[in-house]
Amino acid sequence: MSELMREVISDVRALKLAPQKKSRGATVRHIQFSPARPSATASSSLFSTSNLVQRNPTNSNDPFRGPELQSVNMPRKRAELDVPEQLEQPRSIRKRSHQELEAIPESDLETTPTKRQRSGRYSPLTDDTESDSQAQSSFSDVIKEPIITVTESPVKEDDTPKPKRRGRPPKAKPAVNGGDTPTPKATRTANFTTPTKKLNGVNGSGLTPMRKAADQSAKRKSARAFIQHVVGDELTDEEDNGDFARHIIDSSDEEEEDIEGDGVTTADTSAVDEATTPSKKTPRPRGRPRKVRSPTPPRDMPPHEQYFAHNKPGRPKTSHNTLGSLALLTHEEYFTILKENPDRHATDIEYLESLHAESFPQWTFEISQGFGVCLYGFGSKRKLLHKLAAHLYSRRNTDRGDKIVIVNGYAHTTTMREILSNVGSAIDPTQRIPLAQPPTMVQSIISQLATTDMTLTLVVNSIDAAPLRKPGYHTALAQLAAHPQIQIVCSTDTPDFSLLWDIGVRSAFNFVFHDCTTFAPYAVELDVVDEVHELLGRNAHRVNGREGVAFVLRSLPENAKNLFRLLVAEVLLAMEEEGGDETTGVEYRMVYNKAVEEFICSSEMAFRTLLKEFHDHQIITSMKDALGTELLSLPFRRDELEAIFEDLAS
Amino acid sequence: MAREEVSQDVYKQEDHQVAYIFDPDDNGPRHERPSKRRRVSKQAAAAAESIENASVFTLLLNGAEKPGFVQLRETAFHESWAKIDDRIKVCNLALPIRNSTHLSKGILRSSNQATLDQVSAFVTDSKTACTDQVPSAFVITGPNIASQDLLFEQMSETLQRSTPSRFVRLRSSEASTLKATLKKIIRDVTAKVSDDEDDDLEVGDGRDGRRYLDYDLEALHAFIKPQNCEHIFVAFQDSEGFDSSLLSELVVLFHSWRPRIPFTLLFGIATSVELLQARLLKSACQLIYGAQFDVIQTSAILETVFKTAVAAADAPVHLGPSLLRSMLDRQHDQVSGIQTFVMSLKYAYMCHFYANPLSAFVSTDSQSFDGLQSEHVEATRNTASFRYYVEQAVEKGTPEDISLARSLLEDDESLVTAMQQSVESRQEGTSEFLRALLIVRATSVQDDEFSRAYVDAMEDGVTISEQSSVVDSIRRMDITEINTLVRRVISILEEGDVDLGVGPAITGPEHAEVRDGLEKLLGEIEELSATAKDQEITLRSKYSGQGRVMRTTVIAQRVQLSQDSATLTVEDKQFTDIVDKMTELLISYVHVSSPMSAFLSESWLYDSRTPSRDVFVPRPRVVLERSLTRPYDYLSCACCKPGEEGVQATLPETALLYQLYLETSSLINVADLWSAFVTRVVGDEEADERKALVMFYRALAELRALGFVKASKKKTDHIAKLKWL
Repeated sequence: MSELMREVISDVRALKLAPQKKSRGATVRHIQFSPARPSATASSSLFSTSNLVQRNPTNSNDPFRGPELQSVNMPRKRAELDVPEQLEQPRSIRKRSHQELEAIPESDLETTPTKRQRSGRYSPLTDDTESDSQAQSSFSDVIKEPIITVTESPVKEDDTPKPKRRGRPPKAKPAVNGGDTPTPKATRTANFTTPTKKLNGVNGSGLTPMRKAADQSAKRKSARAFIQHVVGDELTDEEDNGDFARHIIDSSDEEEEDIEGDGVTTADTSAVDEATTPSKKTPRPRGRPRKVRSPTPPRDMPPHEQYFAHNKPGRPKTSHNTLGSLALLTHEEYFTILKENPDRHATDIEYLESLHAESFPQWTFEISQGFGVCLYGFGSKRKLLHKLAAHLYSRRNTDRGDKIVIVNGYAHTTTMREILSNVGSAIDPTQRIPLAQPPTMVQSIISQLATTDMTLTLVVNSIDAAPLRKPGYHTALAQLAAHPQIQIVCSTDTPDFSLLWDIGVRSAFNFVFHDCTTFAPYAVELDVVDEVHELLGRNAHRVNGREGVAFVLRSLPENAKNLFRLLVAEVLLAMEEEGGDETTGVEYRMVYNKAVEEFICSSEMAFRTLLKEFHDHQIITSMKDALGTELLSLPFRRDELEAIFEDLAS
Repeated sequence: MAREEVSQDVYKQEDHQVAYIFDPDDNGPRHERPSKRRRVSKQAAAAAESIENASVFTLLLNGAEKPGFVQLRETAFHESWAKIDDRIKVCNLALPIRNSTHLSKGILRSSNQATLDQVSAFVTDSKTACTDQVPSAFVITGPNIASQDLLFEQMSETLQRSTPSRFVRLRSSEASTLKATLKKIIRDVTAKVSDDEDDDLEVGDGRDGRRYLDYDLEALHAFIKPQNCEHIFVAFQDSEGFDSSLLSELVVLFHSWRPRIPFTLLFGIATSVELLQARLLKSACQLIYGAQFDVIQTSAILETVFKTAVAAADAPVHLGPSLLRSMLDRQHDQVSGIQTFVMSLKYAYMCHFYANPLSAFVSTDSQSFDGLQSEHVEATRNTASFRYYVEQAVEKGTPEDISLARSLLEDDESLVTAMQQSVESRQEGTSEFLRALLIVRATSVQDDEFSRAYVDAMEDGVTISEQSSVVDSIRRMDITEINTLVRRVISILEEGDVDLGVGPAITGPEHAEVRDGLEKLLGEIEELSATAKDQEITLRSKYSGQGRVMRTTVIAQRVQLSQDSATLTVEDKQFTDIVDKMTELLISYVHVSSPMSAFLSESWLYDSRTPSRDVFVPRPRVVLERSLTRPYDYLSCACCKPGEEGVQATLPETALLYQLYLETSSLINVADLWSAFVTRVVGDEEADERKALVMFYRALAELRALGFVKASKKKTDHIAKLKWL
């Protein structure tokens, strides 16, 4: 299955790259050939564009309508489809296939143009993967495109080797279409011949455009469709099978969406085959709804379905746009704008918070009864907790020396030792708890507590913040919280915080949970600008790009500059080779050798010293690849690197 | 203004401090703080004034409640809970409870005692019984690891008390490698005496002054040699969590050191010994001399606690069936310990007294009815139980009843009297209910747990009718069974049940009637059984299966089936009479409706499932999803309209971005996300775009902090989606 898909994708890619140019060449060549053909055919094929448009007036209005008309020829499609496939085969086989071709009565060839036209459609269509509007425009392309491909059929008759090469582009079609790459020979021929014979009966062998036009008349069409319907019964079954397989493939890759557009043509045709009249009055073919698939998956799927829908195998289909053109925010700008523009919901947020604040007495009661209080929900709960702390503070028992310790879990420097030593100093400022492993410290805190009868309240902001997520931290906190003289109030931000606690820890915390959605901005908890830059892979803490590097290098000796230039050049080269925009490393050894060659340094020692300087300024990074080779790379993006290189070279 | 405050907050130093002691009085650099504090403290002060000594309880009845009642509720809470708290302890008071602050620990402590004794016995025995193997105790603790900690703590205390020994507790999280484990063992053993915090261990005597690596068991040997240590206990608290190969290695290692260091192992096992054995190497298993110990399972303790604290007739507050059912289900579904149950119970008590103004009437002393507020009376008239009471009175239709109903509705005085009566008679009512329940259970039809039976009975009441299974099972009994049943019922009536706090049934003539009837019956039974014994016949009633005979008669080539009762002897008939009397008695006597229907049951019955569920089983994902998809649910702001399709530009930025996030697939192009975002938020002015960018930044940073996205290296400016809520 997946193999098939890959095949399909590669085919589609091949189509994307190759055919357009080639086929354009083909048109030119065709003009040379066409005189050899009977003039009627030539003209027919030359004007086929206009013909097409005229014959299928619906086509221009509504691209989706097109297939209906084409569908009339459906049964022959199969036959036609096989041709290009065979063309690709070694010459001897090709010949034979050609003989087969010739065995087909002319009428078949007569119909080929329309057929071709459809196959030609693949190439332009595969290019667009985006929206419906684009699809629309590409459909208009389709209408133009056929000129090129249509010409083939006459050429084929000529049996000249060249056109056969031209026959290649549509080759992808069978794979895509049927999903069954090698059709067993027997069935193939069966498909091949049966319908054509019948058609023969209807159409005769007229090749003139007049005749063709006549064939488009509704009466004839209906008659033809009827006959096809009678004959094509066995076919439709088979169609459906192919259909099914193809749909499986399609659903697995969005890139084939457009192809499916064509695929549906097949589905439609089979539908129309069954319908008695292919006229407009015909009810919409049943295959139709499947075709309109929006790029976004349906919205009302349950989360797990969505997960699988989003994590389908295959390349992610995102555009190649980057934020390159956007000037990213600096801290200054961020805060200036933030200050200038008050939040639209500020008052609502304030009100919401006051609502939560009304529960303070309840929470106080809960805390006093030995429960821990845990506030969750979206929005910063720091201010609320601060207010709660103030509330608790106002009610504390000063005689016993009750204290409140506030812990900021979100602070990057948070460690358990610091928290515990703070707790210790809150209990008894004169006695410092020896810094040790958290469990030991907890023990000494508890023994200290035993000497007093104070109540200590721990207020923990963002207990689920990254710095507090280290193993053992929560166990230590829980041990504290389980002590009857220690009360705990905390806030959590992430939706999965409860996974932090196993049953032991959780029952030690003895939490009651309250939904405290505040919508307040995480103003203190998050360094928004750094956070986003980190997310985007732009290192926030590094000297700033090109200017920074220039600044650093200015203070370094000439050798260092040269070495850096060498490094930039090497990295750029490596990037070129790999073609990626990702950070690419160059081998340490290689750089050293080059540096020696260019007399930048004479010993590895000196080389290392120079590198260390860069490293201190964080303008290079080193890493090891899978084999353990040391690689040097520069933490800049390609355009930045190029700019730096220009600066250095000048 | 708020914005300014925020931005000032941003630069406050202590916000970035890891931890600090909260002290708003110490307002050095801060200026805006005092005003805020004053507001809060003033509020608190006002509250303190009104409730005299700073009660945490708030005024109910729309603030009309008098402080006296608030205090009454609070003291009622403290008294009631203390009573239950004590009871939970008392019923397990076989042993001294050291740490009595945590009541639930008290229960567990005592329930673990048997196990502890067994283990100590095993340890003593093993000294003689096994010479060349490592003695190991396998303690089946059950899946609740919350109680494991306590168990091992107790073990360490008991064992160290009984013998000169050292105890090391290992948890799988602390022992990842062999080296780390050994380090921990050695450190724990040595640290208990000397508090040296040297990196490499300097052990003992200093005569040779040898230094050891800190994972060298030789060090341990040197350490314990002078101390005459009989046992080094190594407890694997959660043996399932350990790496199997690590366990095997440790066992082998301990065995090889056993001649010099007296290791004894303790395994805490949640599953079964067989599973542990399967995980260990055979060679390691052979070195183990083991015994298995079962800790009393939570379910057994739960039943005791349930009887004494929840169902007891004199429990100050009773819980309703729906809450109880959810509590029991939670206990069953999530393997939570007994602590959780007790805490849920406590929380129910808290809710009841905190939020129900009628809870003031729980305390039986009549003082609660002095100075009763008109609001209380009004509230009582609004209760469901009042309505039921009045309706019943009206339905009875006698003139007295009708007038009673009228006076209840119109006259406050008589209502108060009725309330007083009902409060006084409440315990009798519940006792009645429990007695009936006990009688039904005595017939042993229901062999499920008492807790479940209680919950069911709470819902439907207890009745025995001709059709009920109780009658059937009585009829199937033989004479001895009937005998025990009658004795049991009499004892229930005369003595009640200690656990449930049901006293003897003395009040009311119907009790005496029943008791007399039963006693008469008992006399008959004994007489009958004596005769039966003399004559060596087995007594059968007409209900017992053997008593019926199927007869087939062929009449005129037709088979007639007829069921004939086998001819009953005189004794059999007597026995049948006894059975019939017994069932009649029970049917007439056991007819108790659920205590929930009693008048004023609202004052002592709490049955609200939601608070408990919200508080103990949070649904953070749902809440977060809701707040992000429908912010107006929380903000109720004017700008964002509920029910409007599509993404509204006025949504809070994170909610807006989340909408867009929902449409993305697993890999997100930030550039595209940004362009989608900016088109939603602004037109095309430059300044606005920067503003939008600020919003975008904030939203993105928040989504990241909430764990929705992470950086991705697959493509430039792409991020990966992490959550599908």
